[in-house]
Amino acid sequence: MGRYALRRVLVIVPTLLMLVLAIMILEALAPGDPAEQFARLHSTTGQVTNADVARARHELGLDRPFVAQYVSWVEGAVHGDLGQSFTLEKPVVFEIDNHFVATAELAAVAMILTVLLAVPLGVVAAVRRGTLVDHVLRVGSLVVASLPGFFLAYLLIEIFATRLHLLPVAGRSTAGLVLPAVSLAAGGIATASRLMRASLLEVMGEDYIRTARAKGLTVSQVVRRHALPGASLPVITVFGTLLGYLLAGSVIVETIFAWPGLGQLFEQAVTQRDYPTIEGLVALAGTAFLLLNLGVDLAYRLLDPRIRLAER
Amino acid sequence: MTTLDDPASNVSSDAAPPGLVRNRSPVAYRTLALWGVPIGVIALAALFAPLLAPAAPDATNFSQRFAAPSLHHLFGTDELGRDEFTRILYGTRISLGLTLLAAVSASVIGLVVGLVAGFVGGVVDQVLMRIVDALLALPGFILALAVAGLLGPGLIHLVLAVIAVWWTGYARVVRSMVLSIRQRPYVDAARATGSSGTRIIIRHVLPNVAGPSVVLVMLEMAHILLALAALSFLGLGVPQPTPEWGAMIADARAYLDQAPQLLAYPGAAITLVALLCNLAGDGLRDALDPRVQRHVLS
Amino acid sequence: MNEPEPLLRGYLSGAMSRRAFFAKALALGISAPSAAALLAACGTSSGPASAPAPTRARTADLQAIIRMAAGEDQWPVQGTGAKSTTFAYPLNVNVYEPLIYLASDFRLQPGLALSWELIPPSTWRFHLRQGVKFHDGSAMTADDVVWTWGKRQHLGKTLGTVSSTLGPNSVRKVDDFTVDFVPVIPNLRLPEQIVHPEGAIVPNGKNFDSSPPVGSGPFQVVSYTPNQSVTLNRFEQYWGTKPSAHQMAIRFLSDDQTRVQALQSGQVDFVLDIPPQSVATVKNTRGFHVVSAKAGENQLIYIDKKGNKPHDLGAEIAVRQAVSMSIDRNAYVSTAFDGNADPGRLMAPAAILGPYANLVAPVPHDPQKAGQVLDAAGWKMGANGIRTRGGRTLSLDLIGWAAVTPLSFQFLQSEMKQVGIQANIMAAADTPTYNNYYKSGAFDLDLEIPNQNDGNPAFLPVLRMYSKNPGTADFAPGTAFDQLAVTALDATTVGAVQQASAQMQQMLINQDYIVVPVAGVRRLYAMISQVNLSDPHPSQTNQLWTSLVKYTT
Repeated sequence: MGRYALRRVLVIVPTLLMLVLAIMILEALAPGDPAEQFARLHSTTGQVTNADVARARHELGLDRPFVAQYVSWVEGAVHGDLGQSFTLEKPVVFEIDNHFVATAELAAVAMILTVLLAVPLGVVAAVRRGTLVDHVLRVGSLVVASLPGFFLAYLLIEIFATRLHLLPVAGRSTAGLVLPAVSLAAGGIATASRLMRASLLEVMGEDYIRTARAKGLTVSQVVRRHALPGASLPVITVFGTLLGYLLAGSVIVETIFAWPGLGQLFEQAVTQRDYPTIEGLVALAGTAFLLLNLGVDLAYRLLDPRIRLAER
Repeated sequence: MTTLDDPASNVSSDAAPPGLVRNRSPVAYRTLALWGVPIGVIALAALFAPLLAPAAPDATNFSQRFAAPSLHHLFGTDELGRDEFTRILYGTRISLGLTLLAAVSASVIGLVVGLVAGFVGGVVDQVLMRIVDALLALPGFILALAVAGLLGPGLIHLVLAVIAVWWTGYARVVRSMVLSIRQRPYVDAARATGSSGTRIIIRHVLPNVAGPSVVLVMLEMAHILLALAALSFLGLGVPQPTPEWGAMIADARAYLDQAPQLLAYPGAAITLVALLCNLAGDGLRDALDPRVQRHVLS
Repeated sequence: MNEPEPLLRGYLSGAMSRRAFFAKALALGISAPSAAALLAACGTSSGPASAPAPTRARTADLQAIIRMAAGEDQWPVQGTGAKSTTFAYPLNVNVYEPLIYLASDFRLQPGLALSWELIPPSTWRFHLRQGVKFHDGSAMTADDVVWTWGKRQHLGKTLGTVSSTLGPNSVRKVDDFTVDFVPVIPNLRLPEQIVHPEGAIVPNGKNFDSSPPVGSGPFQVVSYTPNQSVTLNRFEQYWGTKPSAHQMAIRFLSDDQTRVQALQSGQVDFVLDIPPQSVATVKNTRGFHVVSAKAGENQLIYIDKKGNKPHDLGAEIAVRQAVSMSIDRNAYVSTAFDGNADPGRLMAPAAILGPYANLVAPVPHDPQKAGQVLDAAGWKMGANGIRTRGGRTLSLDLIGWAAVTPLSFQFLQSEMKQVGIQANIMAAADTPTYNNYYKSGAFDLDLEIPNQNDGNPAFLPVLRMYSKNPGTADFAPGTAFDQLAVTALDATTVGAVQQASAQMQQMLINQDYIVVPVAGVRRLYAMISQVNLSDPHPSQTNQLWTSLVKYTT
C-alpha cells in the first residue's frame, strides 16, 4: 500500500510536466503573437515597429529556444514562481491567489449541494429500482445532465433574479452565491446520483448482501447495515470526479455570473493568449485533479475489502 | 454542468469492453432501436434540411423581425427576420455533424493509438500512454477550451479542440481491449503460424475492437455535443451567420425581453438531442454491462 | 498593409471588450510643422459640467448611495502595476482630473488649469487654478504638474502625440501656479489633446498606482476589490460642483444583458452602457428610465483601396461608391440599434465640427444609382444576384471590431447584396482575432467604431488618413488630403481646424468614398426613476458623475 501510494505520487510529477509541455507546444503552434500585443501595450507613439516587437519578445522571454522556455518554466515552478502574466503584468501566483477564494467558495457550496442531494437520490433510485420513482429520477437526472449549463444558468437568472427578484443576477455576494452554485452543481447532482444508484445496485448484487437477504433482513436493513457502507466507496469516487465537473463548469458559470474566480481568469487568459497564466492555471488544475484522483484511489484501496484481500 | 468527464460512463467503460464483446444481448439492440429511432429521424431531418426548411437559414427579412410563431414561421423569426425553425433545423446539421465528425475522428485516432500501444508495447506503449495520462490529467472541457481558445475561432478549430480531448479516452480503452485480446488462443495461434502483426491486427483484433468502439462513441455523443455548444457559446466556435445552437443561445440573450422563445428553441434543441443520446447510451450501458444486470433487490 | 493599432482603437472606442487593450490610450501621432501662433480659448467657468436642474421639482438626496453597474473591470490593467496610468474605467475623470476638460458639447473647459495661452513659437502656458486640494489634503501647485508629466514621460506612460512631442524636461514650472509646456516638436493641438484622464495630475511624489488613488477629482476611492466592486465617496473639498450623491457603489458586470437584468431585479440603481435593444424594455417598465448621450462614436466602414489581390477591388471608386450608396442608414439604425442611434453621416460627432459639419453631405441610399455605377464599371448582375466581371465575382471581405454585433454585420451584408455585392462577414470574437484579420490585410471593408474623446476637431481624419502617421493611417488617400491635414494641424483658430476637418471628411465620404459612415452611436444609461443623469457625455472617458442625482422619494 505505502509503496503503491509513493509510486502514484511520483508519477504525478512527470504527468504534470508532460501536460505543461503539451500546452506550451500548443501555444508555440497557435496563431497570434503575444509579443506584438505586449509591444502595443507599451508603445508610446501608437506605432509598433518590428524592433519593438522583437524587444517585447525578448522581454517576455519568447525569443528563447522552446526548450529553454520550458526548462525555465519548470525551474520557476519548482521555486513557486509561475512567471509574470503578459497582460496583467503581475506574477501569475499573485493572480491565482487573487481569484482562488472566489472559486473555492463556489466549488465548496456546489460540492456540498451535490453530495447532499446526489447520495439520497441515488439511494432512493437504487432501492426502488424499476419503480416509478426510479424511472422519474433516472429520466429527470438524464434531462438535467443533458441541459447545457449556460442554458440552465440563464433560465435560473430569468426566473429567480429578473422575474421574482429573489436573488442577485450576478456579482459576488452571499446571496449571489446561490444561483451560480446551483448551476454549477446541477450537472454533478444528475451524474453523481446515477453513479450512486449504479454502484449501490452493484454492491447489492454482491454475495454478502445476498447472504444478508437470505438471513431474512429487510431491504432497508440491508441497505443501511450492509449496502450503504459498501457503497460509501462510490461517494468517494463522486468527490473525485466532481472536481472535474466543478473546474470545467466554473469557466462558464463564473463568466455568466461575473464571479471573479479562476474560471474567469482562465477564460480571459485563453482569449488574450496570456501564456504564463494559461500554463500556471493548467498546472494548478492538473495538480488538483491528479491529487484528488490519487486520494480517491487510495481511499478506495483502504476501504474496499475486495481490493485489500486481492493484494494479500 | 457541461463537462467531458462523466463518472458514470467512466465506471462502466472500464467494465464495458469484455461485456460488450461477448454480451450483445437482444435487449441492447432493443434499447438502441428505441432511442435510435428518434435520433435517426432527427439525423434525417438534418440531412434533408434544405428540402424540409421553408426558407434559407441566412435569408434575412428586416420587416419581419421577432415575428411570433405562426403557420408561415413555425417557430417565429429572429432578430434579423430569419425563420427560426429553419435555423434550428440547419443547426441540427451543424451540431450533429460536428459532434459526429469530432467523435468519429477522435475514436479513429484513439483506435489507432490504442492499437499501436497495445500491440507494439514496450517504449512506444509507454510514451503514448504517458501522453494520454498527461492529457487526461486535465478536466476535458478545460483542455478543449485551451485548445479552441489558442487556435482562435473557427469550425475546424472547434472540432480539433474536441478531438484533442476525446481521443485519449478511446486510446486507453482500445489499448486495454487489445491487451486482453492479445492473450487469446487464436491470436497466439495466428502468431505461431507466422502471420504478420498488421495481418493479425486486421484479421483478429480490429473486428473485436471496432464494435465496442462504436458503442463508446455513442456513449460520448451527448458530452461532445454539449462541449461543442459550450465552446461556441463562449464565442470560440462558429463564424456568423452559422446557425449553431450554442451561438444562437448566446445571441438570443440580447433579445430576451422581446423574444424569449429565441432562447428556448435552441436550448430545447440541444437538451433534446443530448437527452436522446444519453438515453440511448444509458440504456445500452445497462443492457450491456453484466454487472448491472445482476441484482437481487428490486 | 500597415499594422493595425488596437490600443488606439481601445482609446477611440472608450469601451473595449478585452481589457488587455485598455492598458493605454493613445492620441494621434502628429509631427506638426508649425509656425503660427494660436491664442486658445480661455474659459472662466467655475467648474466642469455643472448639473442642470432636474425635470421635476424633487429634492436631491445628499446622503444617497447610488449603486451602479459598470462593465468589465479594467483597473488591474490600467490603474496599477507596471503599466499604471491615471486612466481607469469606469472612474475616468472622476478621480484623476486633467488640466482641461472636454465638456459634453466637445468644447474645452477649464479644469485644473483656469486658462492657457500659446507663447510663440510653440510654448503653451497654463495658469493653474488655486485652492485645489488633492484627496490626501495637499494643495495643488505647479510642482504637481511638473512631477506628473515628468513621471509620465519617464515611464513612457504617454498620451499619444502629446507625449511624442514632449521631451523629458518639456514641462516647466514658471511660478507656483503657472506651468509651461515646451514641446520639442511644435504642437498646436496640445490643449485639445490633454483632455483625456490619461493626462490627469497626481500630487508631487505620488505614483500613478498609489493605493488608494490620490487625485483631485469630485470622487475619492474608498475601497476596491478587483473584478468585483469599487466604492467612491464624494470628495468634500472638491473645488468645482460637488457631486450630489454621497457615495457611488460600483459593481463590475461585464455582460451587457446582465447589467440590464441587475437593474430590473433591483440589484442596482444605475447602469452604464446598456445595449440599444434593451432601451424600449427599460423605458416601458414602470420605475425605470433611460438617458441617452449625443452620438460620440461613429460606426464607419473603411474601404481598403490599396489591398493586394484578391483584396484589390476597393481600389475601384465604382465599388466604393456602390457600397456607400447601397446602405439605407435610416433602416440600419432602426434595425441594428432599435432607433437609438443616428444615421451615419460624419467621421466625428457633428458638434465638434461646429458650423462646418454641413459641408459633408449625407450619402443617399440609392441602390439604383449604385447598380448603374457598377454596370458602367463592367460588373454584370449574375443569376444568383451577385455581380461578376470577366469571371470574377464582386465579393468583398468585411471585418469589424469585436464590439460589432451580428445584427450590424448581417444588415450591412444584406444591403450590399441588394446591389449585387457579396460581402463575406469575418466577425471577430475578440480583439486579437480582429487584429489578426486586420494585420493580414485579407479584407476589403473594415467596420470600426471610433469614439471622439479628444478635443481636436481633426483628430480622427488626421489620425487615420494623414500619410505622416504610418502606424495608424493605413488608408491614407494621398497628397491632396495631406495638405488639408497640415492645414488642420497648423490652424490657429478653432474654426479653421473645424473647417479643415470637415473638408477632409467631405473628401473621404462624399468624393472618394473611402470612408462609409453608417451610424452615430449614442451612449445609453438606464436607471431607476429616482435617479437621473442630467449631463450625459458622448465620450465615456470624459463622463463625470457629478450630475448623477438620486432624489428623495
